Amino acid sequence: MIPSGIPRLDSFLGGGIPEGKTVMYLIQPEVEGEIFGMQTLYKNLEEGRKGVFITTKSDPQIIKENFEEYGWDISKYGDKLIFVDAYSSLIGSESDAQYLIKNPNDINSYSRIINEIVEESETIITFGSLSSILDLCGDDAIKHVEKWNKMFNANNAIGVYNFTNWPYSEEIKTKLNEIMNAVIRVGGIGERVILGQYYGILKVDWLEKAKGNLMFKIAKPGGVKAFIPKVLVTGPFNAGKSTFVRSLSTRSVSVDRMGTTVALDKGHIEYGDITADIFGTPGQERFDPILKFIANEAMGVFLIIDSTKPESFPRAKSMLEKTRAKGLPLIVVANKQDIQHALSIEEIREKMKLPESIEIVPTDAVKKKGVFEAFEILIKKIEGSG
Amino acid sequence: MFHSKLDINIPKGSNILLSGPPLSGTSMMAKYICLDALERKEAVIYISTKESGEKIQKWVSERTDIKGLGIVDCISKSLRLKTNIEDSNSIKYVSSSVDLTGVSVKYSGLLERFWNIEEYKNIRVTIDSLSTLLMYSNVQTVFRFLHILTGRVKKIDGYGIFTLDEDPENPQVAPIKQLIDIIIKIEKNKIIFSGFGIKEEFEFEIKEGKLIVGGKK
Repeated sequence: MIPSGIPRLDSFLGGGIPEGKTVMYLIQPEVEGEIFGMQTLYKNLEEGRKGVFITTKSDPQIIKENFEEYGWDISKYGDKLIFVDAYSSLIGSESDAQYLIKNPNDINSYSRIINEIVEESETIITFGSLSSILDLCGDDAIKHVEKWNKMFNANNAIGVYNFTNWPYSEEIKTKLNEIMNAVIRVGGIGERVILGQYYGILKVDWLEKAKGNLMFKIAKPGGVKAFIPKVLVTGPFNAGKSTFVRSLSTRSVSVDRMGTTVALDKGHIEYGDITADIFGTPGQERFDPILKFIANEAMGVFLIIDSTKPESFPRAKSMLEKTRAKGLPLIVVANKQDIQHALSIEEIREKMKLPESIEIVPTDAVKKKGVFEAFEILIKKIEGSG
Repeated sequence: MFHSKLDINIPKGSNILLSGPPLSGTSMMAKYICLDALERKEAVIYISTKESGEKIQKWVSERTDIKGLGIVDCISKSLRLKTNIEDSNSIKYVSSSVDLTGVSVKYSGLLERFWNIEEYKNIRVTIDSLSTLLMYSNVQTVFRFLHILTGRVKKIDGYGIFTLDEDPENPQVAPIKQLIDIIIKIEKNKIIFSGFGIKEEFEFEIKEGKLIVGGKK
């Protein structure tokens, strides 16, 4: 297995991409998706594997600069990365790539070079854009792609294809889907304009059942990051919600008066390969309409409680019911665990009559203790429910 | 409104081919049409395969506010017009005019900015020029790209304006006409509109850097 390098994708693929298999990123036009193939290649270069990049839309130097935009310096991999340049001949310019495709409109010229390269086993062969090869060479190119895939399979090489899903014929789309071992859709969300992006599993033929969808954002530097657009932080008055939001966030804003939150806290989290926006609601009952409003469309909930104040637990329980009714992934964060007379997790579970299915995570938000553990647990729940 | 000085009603959501023989001034006309929209606080996304984004931005800034202007620059990277090219808020770069996927990603990003963040509700997308795209990609490829773009223009009720430095009757570009609602032809000092039951002609001249339009002929 090799890693895909895409956040969470490996777990959807059953651990990664097995040797000899092909993966196609099927990219909706207007969505920044070609980075998926680049990120898979880069991750594997980083881990010491060899890679090939076939470029049809710009010369290798510009491709290197495109990688650099994401903070990925590929020049340091020297001979481990081979460029196949199918662009320079198209515009009649010089090329210093290891392999030059002299006639980019002739699919046979690709086949000759791919045959030659693939004999090196366990190479990751990345097609910067299979759709542009199809555009250049015509529909017959698919037959060659099918042969390449068989060859990759026989040689334990891995084929990674970016494919922009322009309005091609159904015949082409069906055939492509057939000849790839895995197809990952990279799409956009939004009616009039594209407001968000996601990827989702369409096909994985080495697994009996495969599914998974995730929203993502592109960070420069950083590349594809999982994106959770709305996580709610709620809990009784003075439980430490604002502190929790601040501790988790890379940047945050709090709308407050006299030290207590009267509107809401908003934070943006960048943690590992995940980015998320979190919203904290004020704890007083008069703000419950806000809680309802924010709980709409939220993807998960942190319920923060003050472990030293059992008298606030009934209020916490009622807030929990309000959000739980929506069936959202939820965890209870038992804050202020650093204070001496704080109740233990078991005591809290008993006093609040919480079933074992609701996880309680101990934290000390002021010292940032436990907050990222809580975040990871909630993210796993969100992904599980997706 | 399509243009403040042209007495012509073009429905929103229209895709327009702006054509004329080479050197007839289609690019210049495209810029003046965009300028008029910017002066009326509309947003313009200008996809340029001929001039650098900086040059277009400068031309516009000498005439009006560039707040609503976003540019997709298809040439600076491939011609290496400068080093260390990075996207700015208003100029986005693609690797080359072959990279239609890249063009679609960049205009889409600008659309999100104008539509969603800055709440412009009148946006026009211009390509200057289709002739360059057709030089590097075959007509089916350009057709598929335009199919997506013209659909997007309809979804946002905007205008799509695409320049073409040849006769639109040329059979080589015929498939593209299926995606077009209105054709504007530039002939010497005349602008001729046809399509959607419209057939109008206007005289024009460029005087002291301004587009002067005469009445209907």
